[in-house]
Amino acid sequence: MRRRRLDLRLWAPLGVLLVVVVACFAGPGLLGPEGAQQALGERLAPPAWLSGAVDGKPLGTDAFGRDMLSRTLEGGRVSLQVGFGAATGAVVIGLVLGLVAGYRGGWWDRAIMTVADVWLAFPFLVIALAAVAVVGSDIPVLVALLTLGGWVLPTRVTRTIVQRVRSEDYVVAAAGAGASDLYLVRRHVLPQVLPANLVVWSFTVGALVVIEGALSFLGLGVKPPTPSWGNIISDGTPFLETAWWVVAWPALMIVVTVMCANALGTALRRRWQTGSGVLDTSTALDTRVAP
Amino acid sequence: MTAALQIENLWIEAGPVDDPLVLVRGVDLSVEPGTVVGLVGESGSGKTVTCMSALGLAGAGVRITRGSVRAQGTELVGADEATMRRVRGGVVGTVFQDPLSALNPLQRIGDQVAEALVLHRGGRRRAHRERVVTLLARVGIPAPEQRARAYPHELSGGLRQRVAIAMALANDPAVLVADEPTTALDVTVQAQVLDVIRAATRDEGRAALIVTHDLGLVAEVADRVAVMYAGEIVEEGAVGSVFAAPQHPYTRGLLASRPLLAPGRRRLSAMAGRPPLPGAWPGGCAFAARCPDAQTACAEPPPVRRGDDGWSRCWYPPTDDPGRDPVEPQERAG
Amino acid sequence: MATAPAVATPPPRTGRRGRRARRIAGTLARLVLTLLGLLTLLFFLVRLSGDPAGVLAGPSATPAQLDAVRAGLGLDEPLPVQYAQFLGDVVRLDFGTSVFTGESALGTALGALPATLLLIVSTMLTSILVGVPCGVLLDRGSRVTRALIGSTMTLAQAVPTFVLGVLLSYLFAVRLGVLPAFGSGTPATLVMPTLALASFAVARTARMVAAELEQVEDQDFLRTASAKGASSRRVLWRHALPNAFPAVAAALVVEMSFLISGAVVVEVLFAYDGIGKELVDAIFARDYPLVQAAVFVIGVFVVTVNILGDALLAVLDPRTARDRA
Repeated sequence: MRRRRLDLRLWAPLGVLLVVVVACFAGPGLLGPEGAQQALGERLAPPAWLSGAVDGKPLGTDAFGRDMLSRTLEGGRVSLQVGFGAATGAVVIGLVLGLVAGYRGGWWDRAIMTVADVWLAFPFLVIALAAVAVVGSDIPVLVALLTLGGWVLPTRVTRTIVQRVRSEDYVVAAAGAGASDLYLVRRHVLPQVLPANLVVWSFTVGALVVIEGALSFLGLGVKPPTPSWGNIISDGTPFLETAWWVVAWPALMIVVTVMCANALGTALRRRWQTGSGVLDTSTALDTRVAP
Repeated sequence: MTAALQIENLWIEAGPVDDPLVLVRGVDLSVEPGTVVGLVGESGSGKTVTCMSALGLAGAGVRITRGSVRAQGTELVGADEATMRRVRGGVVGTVFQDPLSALNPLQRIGDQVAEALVLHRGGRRRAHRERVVTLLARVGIPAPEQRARAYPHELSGGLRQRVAIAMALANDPAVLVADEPTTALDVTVQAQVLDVIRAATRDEGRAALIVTHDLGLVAEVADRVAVMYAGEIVEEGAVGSVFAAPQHPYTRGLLASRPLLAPGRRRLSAMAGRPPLPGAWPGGCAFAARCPDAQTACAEPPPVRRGDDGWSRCWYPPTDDPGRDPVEPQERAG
Repeated sequence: MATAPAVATPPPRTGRRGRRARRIAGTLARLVLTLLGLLTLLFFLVRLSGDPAGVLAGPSATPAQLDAVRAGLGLDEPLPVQYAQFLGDVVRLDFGTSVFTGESALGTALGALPATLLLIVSTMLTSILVGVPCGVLLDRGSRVTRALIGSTMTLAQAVPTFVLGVLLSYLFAVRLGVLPAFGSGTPATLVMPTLALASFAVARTARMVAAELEQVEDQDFLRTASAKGASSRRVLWRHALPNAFPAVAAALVVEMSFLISGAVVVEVLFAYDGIGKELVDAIFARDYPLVQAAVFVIGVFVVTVNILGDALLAVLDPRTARDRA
């Protein structure tokens, strides 16, 4: 047997994502509260390697003199909470609905899939905008809202796999031999559905981080002064000419997060595709989750 | 007289250049004007790749490493794009196995036939409409004027294959190459398509190379037959003499496994073993491992023995040893 | 005992006309369902906020105004009645008047639509004109070309529209000063919004084209075309790409609801006067009649595109009527 080599295409994005998450949740605490405080005398100070930099604020400051490092990391908390939370919620809902649709079939299947089709035709961001305007934009609300934005893909993927597994000979045979539904789902269906949904989850995280960013960029995400990558970018846009760093760091974080989430999804899909041929849903997975 | 299609010492390989997989080794085959040659063999014997590579249609990664292919005297190995384009469809018409996938699903069949004309005669598709209808009628498509406007998915498999044949014949090519033209069709339709092929070749005096594993088809349309095994031609000759007195034990095995073609035979027999895959061809006679008459000499490459009209590649052709019974090899093996 | 696996029963054989009729009926049913869903969502969203009258009348309304709005909306009626009333208003295309401008909400929303349409059309054109060649190169190009285009596309898919928009405006408006940072109405103002919006669509189109080409690649009809004497270029443009195109076009149509979402962001970012900006402005102004009207108009637009897309597909791919039904 050959030793299994570390698959960088899988572990590199996973590692970076972990670093981002840890940094965002532990970083601001470690850096202390000063970073988040306004210091109007140190407005728009550049990063440490440029002239005019302020001590202790290595990535520069924003228009209120707040440290961009701690602000960017803190902004990540909201973005990541919403992104990861909503993606998890979406996959859980998708799992349940997909199992019901694929397993029960018939009327259930038609109802769920029709709603999914209709839902996909909605311009989601538009609805989210209208909804946020009415019900506000606390983090739980955003998570709930974005969960609604991501449930269709995991539902479709789960249903497709369940349907295929159910019609396979060994499952039909097991059912014929008197295996209970619960047993069949646990033994044959879930082992195929869960990996696929982990792939979907990865892509969904990326997509929902973007939507959260778009919402807060438009001023309809979490309310300032709570930072989020989107609203930091939006706040920094007027100063782009003189202080590019206000926009650059959160933008970089979003791009890195999304790229890693996508790369992780791609790597997971590749791994399971070649591993057992289980994940033959590439076309379904390529369907975009959200803008 | 130049042959319509002349293949000499053709070697074909695929895969990485430093570790190639040899698919065909030294095939010699000549299709004279007005003759129909059947190229038979099991899958993996290299018969399809031989004729597809000869026309440069074998796909990426398959390459000719040695040898020559001439169509009406034009060398095709190493020829430039323009020459190949002129030859393909102009000198050599080609029919593929699966008529479902061989036609562009988005184009009307009339347009597809017309494209073959446009490519070689110029002009617009509309200018060739009359000839398209004539061609479709010639391959036996009923109501050709209406059918010309049909899409492939609206036709049956047999009709689609007729369209493919019409396309191949559009520019009156000197040679027709057909790769398993009836294999994908229903048995009931096979005979009809066979008639069309016979009409297009024998009856019109056109040379043809028909690749098939179906000896019945060879018996019906071919003048000559070449038998391929493990990337080599092991026997070649006139259909009548090969079928009546096969020289190579593999040919005998093939014939013995066919009910109507094995002369005087009551019992059918299946050949023992399976053909070796490319890359696993043994040295010496490749058939030795399955041959009921194999002897020590068979570990060496067999000599080519020429008969009156044809040749074979075997150390012990039946004529050398009249005492041996060449027609019941399996019983001895079994 | 387990229930038998659900097996899709093949539709009964009917004539071509029957199939087409059923397809149209299905599409129409989806249209109605989608719009109904959208409207229901709108209805409950407004009720969710607690006091719809307060929401609809705006925060500065006097108690008398509130009462008037309540009575006008029939808010004293039970919810189902209100819902029916709301739907009735929608059917009559009556969304009330914009709190802000005092004009018909629907009229205002519709007035902003053409600018958005222009943006979407130019985005789609860009994504086809750039995405298709990129896709061909992604499939046929040399190793270096493929790696280069592939990583560009990966990046394009990971950079959110609003980030790209900010970058573009920094580059073209702030640094180079060649394009206006804001505004609408002139061709120059269309450039950056289109680029920002099209980047994802270009990447997606390119990937789809490459994937479809790869799939089409080993199909026999391409070999048939070569065997007829067609050049490899002709095989690509006349046979391979047309067969790849229906799937690509279908994806673009499906993307429409995402594209519209992106358009909202881009319009706000570049102060481009389309329906997206109108919507966001209305949200900030708490102009709920206008919000409702704008969401409705966008919904109708997306659904219409989906239906037109279906029709387009039938034209592009003669098998559609049979296969996709």
